Formats: sequence, structure tokens, C-alpha cells
Amino acid sequence: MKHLHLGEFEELVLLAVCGLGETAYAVPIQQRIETRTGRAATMGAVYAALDRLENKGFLASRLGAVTRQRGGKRKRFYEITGAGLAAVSAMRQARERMWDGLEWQPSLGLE
Amino acid sequence: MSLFKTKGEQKRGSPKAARWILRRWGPAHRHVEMAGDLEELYALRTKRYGPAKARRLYWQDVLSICFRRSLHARQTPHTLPYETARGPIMLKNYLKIALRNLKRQKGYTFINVAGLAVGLACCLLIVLYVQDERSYDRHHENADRIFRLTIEYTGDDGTHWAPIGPPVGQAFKAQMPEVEQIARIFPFGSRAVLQVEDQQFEESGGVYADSTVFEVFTLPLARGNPATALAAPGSIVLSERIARKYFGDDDPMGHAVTVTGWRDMTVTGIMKDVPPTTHLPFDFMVSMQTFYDQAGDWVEQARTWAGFYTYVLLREAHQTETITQKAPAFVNTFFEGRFEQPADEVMRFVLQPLPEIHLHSKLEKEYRANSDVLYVYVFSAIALFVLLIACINFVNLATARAATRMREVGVRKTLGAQRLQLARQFLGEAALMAAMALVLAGVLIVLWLPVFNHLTGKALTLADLQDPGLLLGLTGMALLTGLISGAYPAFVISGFRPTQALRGAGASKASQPALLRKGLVVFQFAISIFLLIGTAVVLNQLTFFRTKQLGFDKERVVHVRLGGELNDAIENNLETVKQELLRHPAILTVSMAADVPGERYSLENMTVDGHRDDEETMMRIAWGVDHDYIETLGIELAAGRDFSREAPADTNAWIVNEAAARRLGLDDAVGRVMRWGNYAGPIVGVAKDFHFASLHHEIEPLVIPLRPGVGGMLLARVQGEQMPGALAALEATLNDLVPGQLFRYSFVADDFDLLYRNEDKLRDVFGYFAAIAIFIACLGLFGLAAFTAEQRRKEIGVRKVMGATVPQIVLLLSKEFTVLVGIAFVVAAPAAYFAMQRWLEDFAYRVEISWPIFLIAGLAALGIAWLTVSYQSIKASVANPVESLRYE
Repeated sequence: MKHLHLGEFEELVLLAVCGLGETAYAVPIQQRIETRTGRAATMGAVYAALDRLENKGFLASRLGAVTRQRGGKRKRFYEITGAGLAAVSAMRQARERMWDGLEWQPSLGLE
Repeated sequence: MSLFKTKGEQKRGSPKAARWILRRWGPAHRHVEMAGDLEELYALRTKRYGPAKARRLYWQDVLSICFRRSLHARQTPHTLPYETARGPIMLKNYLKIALRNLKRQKGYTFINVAGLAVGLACCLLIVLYVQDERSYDRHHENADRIFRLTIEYTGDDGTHWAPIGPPVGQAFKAQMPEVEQIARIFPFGSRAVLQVEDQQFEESGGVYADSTVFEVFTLPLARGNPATALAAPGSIVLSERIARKYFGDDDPMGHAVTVTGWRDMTVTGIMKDVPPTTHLPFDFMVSMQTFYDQAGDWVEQARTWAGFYTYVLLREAHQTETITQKAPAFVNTFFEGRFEQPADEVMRFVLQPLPEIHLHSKLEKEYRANSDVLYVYVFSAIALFVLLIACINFVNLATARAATRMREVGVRKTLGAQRLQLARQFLGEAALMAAMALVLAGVLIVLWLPVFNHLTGKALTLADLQDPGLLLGLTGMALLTGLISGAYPAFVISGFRPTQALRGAGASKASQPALLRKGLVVFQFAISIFLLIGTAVVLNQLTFFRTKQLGFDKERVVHVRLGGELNDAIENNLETVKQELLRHPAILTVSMAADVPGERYSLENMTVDGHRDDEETMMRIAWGVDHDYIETLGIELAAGRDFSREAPADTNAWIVNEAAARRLGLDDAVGRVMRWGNYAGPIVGVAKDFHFASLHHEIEPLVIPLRPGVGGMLLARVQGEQMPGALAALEATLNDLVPGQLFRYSFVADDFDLLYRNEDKLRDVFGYFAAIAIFIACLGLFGLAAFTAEQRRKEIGVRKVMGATVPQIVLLLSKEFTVLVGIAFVVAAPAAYFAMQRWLEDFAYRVEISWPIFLIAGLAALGIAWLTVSYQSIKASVANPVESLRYE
């Protein structure tokens, strides 16, 4: 398999899927990114990122069962794969190695 | 935007126009989930930001989706399963459908699988047989460098002899530097009796062998030293089998073994059993020096005697050519003075490659009757035909059945199946069926192996099957059959348009290859009829062999082999023993002789005094005959008289058969003096021609010299029904003479039976394979009849409604097949006639192929076909028309 690049927005989506666990589908993913980063992503962007991640093999999806919610329309649930986990942790380690030994401490985002 | 605000929409929330746009322009295949997501978000956002912002964001999302091209792409991971069919989902579906089909049509499945399995099993067994036949003598490490040295006389009635003169081998080796080593084998004439302490056993496989036999052949010794085992006179090497029989678990080395009539031997070696795949099987070897010591000097002088099987080991396999070039010079010096012409004009050496002897050698005085490569061809051809029939069935039924699956094909195509997918599905199904047949074939082989071994006289075991190449080949064969049979539905039916297929128009199109299917049925029945006729002809010929009057009384003559002491004892008081035996009322006449009919007599040169310049003529000779021989065998005389005790001139006398008289050109043979070496005497009688050898050959010229008392065999003619009493009397008398000797007897009729072993084998093979071929052909016919009846259900229904009776409909359905069998007969009968005529040409005495054979074979095939079809046609014709017509 060729080297799979993980884009910045893709990383956020992937982490969101991780954080949501079993309830990861497009709506909570979009909401989580919005509440945690302040970035209001359009659904088009979210779907596109999910597709890309799935094509890269970092995510797997399945259609949920038909329920009474939202007019019986099914949800597509996402789940992180082993490759996906490896990709996010590699990204995190890379980041940490870059930060390592830096004197200047930036204030961390959300506060 | 406010334009679109309606009351209902306010209640539901999301902007109707945006929803419409999403449905119209968004990715259709994911519309449901996306619409759901957006709806959910809208509700959330309305709660959080109010409806206006929620609506704005809704629009934004819809547009972001619609304008993002990547989301429209169909190659995204979640398309409908039918559209990719790469995954195991479709495979599972194919498998499920395949198994359902097999289960629903149990009859078809059985017919198809069983037919192919039988074909495969037969074919595999025959491959095993052929493999075994071709493996003869290849177990010798030097097999490609070992040749048998044989001599061919090049005259008009030239004979080619397997054994050659005893001194030839050594001289040959001395003259030809290409020869690395030679080894000579001289078989014990008949069965030998071996004695260990007081146990006696009769053994058929005994030979004298040079001590070099271990250098030429691969004969591993379990005990003993190959360099010395056969060096000294009086040494004997036993096979492990014999050693176990005589000595049990004791160590046989150094023990004494008596070969009756010869002398005491010492066991000097135990060899591993000689494998059954050799043209030269033996159970024990006695050192050649033993024979030389007892026989005397004449052996070294007997240059032209065909006695010793001589094997040469060349340094290089290709040196046969140089040897062939040098051979005539050697022949001339070695046989100088033996013939009037230079020796190389009379004879030549022929080197036979060792591995080819078993299948290709049919010389005079072979060590054992060899097999014939013809049988390998016949077997292979039959195997191929049976497999072909089975494959044809498979294809036939698969195509017939495929028509019933038109609808499935139509539905699949409507749902988007590609042609290639359908092809793969059908091919896969056929392969599945072939795999099942393969498993069943394995079971059949295990069941049939004993029968097959009996049939072929082989000892094949399942272990022979564990050849990876063989198994791979068989699996390949099965799968190939599967693929070929799957090919029609795979590539033809998958090409129909869905509308055609669904409307059922395909069904008529599928029956287009009906001509092909009928052709295949004709072919199958033609082969079956061919085999039936073949079996009948072979049977007829064999019956003829067994019942033909041979010109002497073979039924009631028993012969007893004498050996060693017994022989000596009888030779010395022949007349007393005869008188003793004749006292028993069941025994009519007794004679002592060396040769009995049914054995191959040797060929010798005869001259008649004062006739044709003393020209030598080769004739068969019955040796060691006494005064009662002619009477005991019931041979009739055409002229002259029998040997007589009263006539003193009969100390040296001849009786010749009519063929011999004709060969000599003598109208008045009686009274002439005939000479054979230093035996000379008058011809006293001419015997009517009688069949002293098998009926394969014309009756050859035969001469019978009177030589009482050198027999080796006792012949007795017995009153028909009193055989047991006569045998008991014979045994008792001989036992009184020399107690404790093995009583070894057989009937001349049985000896003759053995001459037709090859034909017996052919009869069995023809018979069994005819049965199998018919079985498979019937399976095919049965399936096809069922299919036809099914296809014509509606027609039958209409006919019945219109007043057709059951017999009329049965007749209607049977007619078609009758015609097919008729055509098959017309094809097969002439082919069988010519083939069997060719086969019969091998026999000097043969039956005519008569028309009843054809009639019976044809009627049998027709009867079987009718029986097969009748079940289906009766079932179809008694069915209630309501059943078949109610959907119209």
C-alpha cells in the first residue's frame, strides 16, 4: 500500500470518530468538530472526508438498522480500523517529537 | 426564500426547496442517509440557533454536498452489492443458489454426479493400470542400459528366440568392449519341488543365475554378500517370501535346501522379493555353476541351443548402434561352420531394451507370456470413451437444465449482473458438481479396486494412487470437464437479453442445441452398442476356443508331473507302474511323456533320407513319448499304424501329423526314414492333424519320435465320471513307489484354458466396460427424457384434453429416442463389424460374425433405452392435464 497521507481535516474527523465510539455517524462527527475546535464544517466537507478516510482504509462503515428516528432514514455508522488507529497515533507522535524541547509554551487553544 | 415557506413546511422545518435540490441533484445512491443526517442536524440547530440560521446552514450543507463531485462518484465503498459482486456477498449467494438448485433437482444432480464419477473412476483405474504396465522393469537402476540379447533367424519362416545359447554371452562380452557385464538366467524347466527338512513345497519361479546377476540387475539382498552369493556351486538365494514360508522367523542363512532331482543346496543369500512389475519374476536363484557341474560339457558347446536368457549391461545406453554394426562379424566367427551359408545370412542379434520387453516382446520361448501393448491401447481407448460419455452426459444435462434457469438469468440481468458474472456463476456451479463427482469417484475406486485387480491380474493398491502428479491430473480432468460442461450455459445463456429470458422466449432458444444433444445421445449409444457387439464376438470366439474339437481327447486326460526320485523310479519300471495303474477300472490308458498338448513344443530341424537333397525342415517335436501316447490322448491316425511293442524296428520310429507330411511334400510318408541329429528311424504312421497348441495358430508340422522312459510326466486317460477315484488311485500308487512326494497333477483341458488368458481378459474388460458405458449412457438418456417430458408438459396436457390416450403419449415420447438408438446402431454396427473382424484375423481358427449378434446387441440397447425412457414418459402421460395447463 502506498503511503497514505492524513490531511489536517481528516485527522480531526478521524479523532472525532475515535471519540464518539459506537455512535459515530455524520451528525455527531460534525457537531463534535464544531464544539471542540470552533470550526463549522459543512456536511459536504464531512462526507467527503469520511469517504476519503474509508477509501484509505482508516475507517469502515455500515448502514444502521431502520429506526423510528428521523423518519425511518437509516444512519451510516463509522468505525476506526487498525490502520486508522496507527495513522492517528503516528501523527500524534510526530507532533510530540516536534514539540519536544521547545522553550516557548503556547497557550493551548480552547481556554 | 420566504416564497417557499408554507405552513406544512414550517411544521416539518427544513426548507422544501433545498430538500428537493438534494433529492434531484445530490448523490442518489446515498440520498437516504444524507437526508436523514441533514434533517437531524436541522432539528438540533433549530433548537440551538433558531430556525433561520438552521435553514441557512441547511442550504449551505445541501449545496456543499451537491457541488462536491467526489460524493457523486459511484466507486465509493458503499454501492449496492449487485453492482460490484467482488465481495463474498455474491459468492455466498452463488453458492446458495447452486446448492438450492442441486437440492431441488435431486435426480439431475445424482445422474450428473454419478455419471461423471463412474467415468472418472474408470479412467483413473485404467490410468493406474497403464502406469503399472509401463513401469515394468524400470525399478532396475540401470534399466536404460540393460538389454536382452536375442537371436532372430532371418529365413522365410524365421523365428525370433528370446533365449540363446549358453556360451554366447561370455563370448559376446569378450568381443565387445561396450559391454560392461552380462548375466544369464536359465529357468527350471517346470515347477521345482523344494524340500527343507521334511517339508516339501512346489515352486514355479526358480532359475539358475550367473553370479553377476547382482551387478546387472537391482536385486537387493537382505542377507548375504552379492559378490559371493552365487559364486560357488550349490548356492541358493531365496526370496524373503519363500524364506519366511520355509524357515519362519529362523535365520535361513547356511541352511540346507534340497531341490528335488538335483542336489542339496546351501542358502547363501536372502533377496528382497522381486516386484511383480517385471517380465522376469523368480523366487529363488541357484548358482549357474551348479547347473554346469551337473549338465556336463555339452552346455558350453550348445551354441545354437535356445536356452539361456542373456542380459547385457552396456557402458552407455546409446552404444546399441555400434554393437549392431559389429554384431555380424561376431556372428560369423562365433557360429562358423554351423550353417552352410555364412552365419550372418542366417541369423542376427537383436538387443531388446529391458523396459520394453514386457509390452513389446512376443518371441519364441519367452520367460513368461508377456503382456501386449495392444491391451494398453484398448484399455486406454475404452477409458477415454467412458470418460467421454460421462462428460457428454454432463454437458448434455447441464445445457438441458440451463434452459430451466432462464428466469433466474433474466432477474439477475435486470438487477445489473454483468455477462461475465453470470458466466462465472455457471462455470462455478459446474466446477462444484465436478468436485462432488471427484469425491464420489474416490469412493468408487476404493470399492472397485479389488474387482479391477481380479480383472487385470494385478495387485494395485491405494498406495499407488498417492502419486501427486496423478491426483493433480485427475483433479484437473474433473475440473476441465466441469468447465467445458458449464461453458454452454455460461456463454450462451448469459448472452440472452433479460426481456427474452424473462418472457421465456429463451427456453425455445435454449433448445436450439437439441440437435447437438441428440447427436451426443447417438454417440453414447453408438459406443455402447459397439462394446456390446465386441463383447458378444469375444464371447463367441472364446466359446469356440473352448468347445472346438481339437482332434484329441483333452477333457479326460490328466497329467501328473514327476520329479526327481519319482521320475527315476518310474523310468526304471515303467511297464510295472502302468500295469499297476491300469488295474484301477477308471484308468483306461497310461503313458509317459515329456511334452503334453497345450505347451509350446520346441522347433527342430528334420531331414528325410533321399528326399529333396536331405533338405532340413523346421518342425515342432513332441519329445519323450512312449508306446501308449497316441492312444492315451485319443489321437486318430490317417495312415500307417501306432507305435507298437511287437515291432522291433520301433526302437527308433516316428509318427508325424498330416501337416508335417504336407510340409515335407510326402504323399507316402509311411516307411520313409527321418533323421533328427543322431536319431533316425522310419515314419510308421501319419496322425490326423490335431490342435496341440492354441487355436491362435494354424496346426504346425509336428513329429513324434518314440523315446519311452525319458518323460517327466505321466498321462492317464480316465473314464469320464470316475475322475476322483482315478486321481486317488494315481496318488496312492505313486506314493507307494516313492513315499512323501508331492502329487502334482492338472487336466489337459485346464492347460488349454490357460492359453486363452489374454482373450479371457479382453472378454472381461469388454463386458465390464460395456456395462459401465451402458449405465452411463442410460443415466444420460434418463435425464434427457425427464427434461423432454418436462418441456413438453403443456403439449401433453393439450393432447390429453383433446383425447389422446396414455399409450399414445408414451409412444410419442419414446419414438424420438427409438430413432436415436436406431441411428446409433447404424453408426456402430459397421464399425464394430470391421474392428472385430480385424481382431479375429489374429486367429487361425475363428468364428464368423453372424447377424444374430447385431440383432441381439441392437435389441438390447433399444430395450434398455425404452426401459430408461418409459419411467419418464409414463409419468408424463398419466399426469392430470389440469396440473400442466392451469396457468394458461
